Amino acid sequence: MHTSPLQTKELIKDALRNSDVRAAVDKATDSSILSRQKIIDQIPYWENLRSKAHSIKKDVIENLDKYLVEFEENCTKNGIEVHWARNADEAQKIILDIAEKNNVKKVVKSKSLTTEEIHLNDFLIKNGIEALETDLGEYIVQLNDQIPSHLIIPAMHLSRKDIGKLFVKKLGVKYTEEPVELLKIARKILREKFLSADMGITGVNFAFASTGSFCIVENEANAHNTLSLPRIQIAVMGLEKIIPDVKQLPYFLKLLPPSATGQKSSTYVNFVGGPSRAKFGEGPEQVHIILLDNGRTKVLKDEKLRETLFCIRCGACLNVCPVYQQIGGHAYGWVYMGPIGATLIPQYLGEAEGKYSPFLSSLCGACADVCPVKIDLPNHLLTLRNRIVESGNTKSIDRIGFKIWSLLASRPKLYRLASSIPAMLQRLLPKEKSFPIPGYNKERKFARFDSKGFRKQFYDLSKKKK
Amino acid sequence: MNGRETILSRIKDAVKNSSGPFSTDENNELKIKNGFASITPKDNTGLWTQFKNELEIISGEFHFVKNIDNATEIISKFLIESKFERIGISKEKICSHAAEIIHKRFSNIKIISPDKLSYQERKKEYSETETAVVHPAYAVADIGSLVFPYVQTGTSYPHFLCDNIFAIINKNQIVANQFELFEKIDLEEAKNMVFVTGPSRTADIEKVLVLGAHGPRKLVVIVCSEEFQ
Repeated sequence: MHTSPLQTKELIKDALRNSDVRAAVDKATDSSILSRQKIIDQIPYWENLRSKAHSIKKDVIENLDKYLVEFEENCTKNGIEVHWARNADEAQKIILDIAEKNNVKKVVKSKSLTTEEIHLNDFLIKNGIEALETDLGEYIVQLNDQIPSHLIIPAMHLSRKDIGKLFVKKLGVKYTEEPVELLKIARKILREKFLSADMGITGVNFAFASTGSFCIVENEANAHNTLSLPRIQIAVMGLEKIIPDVKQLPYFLKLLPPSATGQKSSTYVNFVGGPSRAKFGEGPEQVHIILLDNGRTKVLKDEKLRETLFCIRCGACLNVCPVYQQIGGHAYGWVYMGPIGATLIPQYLGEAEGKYSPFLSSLCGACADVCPVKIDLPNHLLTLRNRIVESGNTKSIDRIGFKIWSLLASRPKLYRLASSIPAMLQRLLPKEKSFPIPGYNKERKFARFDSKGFRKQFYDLSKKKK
Repeated sequence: MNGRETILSRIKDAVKNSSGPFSTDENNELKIKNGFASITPKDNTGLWTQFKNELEIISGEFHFVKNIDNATEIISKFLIESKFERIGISKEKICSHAAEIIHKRFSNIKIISPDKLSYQERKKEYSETETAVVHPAYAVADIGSLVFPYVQTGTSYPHFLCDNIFAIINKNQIVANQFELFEKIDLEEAKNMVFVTGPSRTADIEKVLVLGAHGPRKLVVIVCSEEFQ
């Protein structure tokens, strides 16, 4: 089921009403924050690593054309077929063409947000091709007809009971809520699928311009099975996933696992440098890589905001975000969520569709503190809020309100007078009632205005001190 | 314009200006390297101790033995206890040698080697085999990780399709960290390879850690002090 960021307000209401989702998200984000901190305390010069990764990504993004061409040349030498897709439709078409040419009926996929971005599963299924997610969390959300609610933990919003019931309903198995048993069920089904699949589709974590190869980082071994068991492999890669040299990878491998899962290292890092069948007698006969734009070159235009393309999709900014912790991932209405999603949505989808997203932040700055590549997320959110206002994508009542406020704020005397009005008006209300403000109700009372006002209180306090 | 040309021209149009160099400490790289040097043990024994500690944190098992014969005793004991009768091996000599020693002890043990099997046969045979004997090219001390370049292994099916992995390695095959690894490793070999750090795992259900997701449930690393020739 696909939603739009324009549905954000309704999606937030749904999320806030569902206390089970809030509890599940709360528990998972808390544990992620703790495990991350435990690991980074053991890594020397964490801050220097972040700066180094930032500078590598900055070089990449400002010389993207050069590195992409170098990557393409080296991939071709390695026997990898490189395709360029301007948008989701082109990427889908390229994949379908490869599938049809090779008589592909069954596809297994490993977790890839880029393929979520192009709605690949629905597209393949519509075209008569079985497309199955194999990461446990992704498999669960696919069974539940949902998209992931977290970049790293796709089924974060579901409890073990929800998953147990889902398996009974969709797989016809006996109810269990034990994670070990639930995994056993999924593993058995998916092992068969891996062995019989014609094509494996993966994402890319890092691609290396100098060698024309790429890597996929994972814990479950489903990505390895996806890229090594079927006869055709396709990797879908956002343009920004490139780094100049494989020797720079250790910086990122030190930063990504602690930020993503609170591990010192992920269990597997799979390196792909061409079709392995001819060389080693197993694995894919063909390896294709699709370089996807789909809005990324629009993001490049702004010399500050292009920093959002540095993102390595670790999800650390989601875990620490007080807004995400309350509303979960589905409320953002798109595949990217949390602070990074709130910056990417209006940039990828346009200000009209992403007009609510940058406002889903308290601007507390926790996201910037944890970002492993030092993306200045709060400032980018502010810039995007400005853009949305300037592009006229706000309600006229908001615009009038802010105009009045700016008129008053630039005239101190008038401001003082105006700010005493709510306190005066509230005298007209019975004492036990709050000042009537839309959105506030019995459960959420608006605090009463102090009739003295800030200036008077401040003056009285400083006088007392003296 | 085709997709390639359009995208490259969009990039050129978009990135006309740079926001200027990111202000990093000039000695940043040096600080990082020195930082890692400060936590790197000074000798081979220290490196293996660090590796062992890291491996055990992530549910791996570690043994330090004299030679390949001793390594096979550990594997044999496991096979007897588990009543398993098949061993999958990768193509390095040390793996076939270990399998032969085990086979001499227990003639009922069937050895699955990649050499004589087609692609389809490999998938079938390894997925029906519970135990594998493999040989990493390197161990990485600071994270308890193993490195398997396909040029040497010739296969990755035993490493992933079998549930119980025994990795036999010589004691000189250890590096301090991945920075050192990428200085040492042949970059051509590094194009197709895999890093393995512990048994496969997932925490996708309520963040409860479960081992043996879609790959091995058990990883045992056996270090031989006498180098296998």
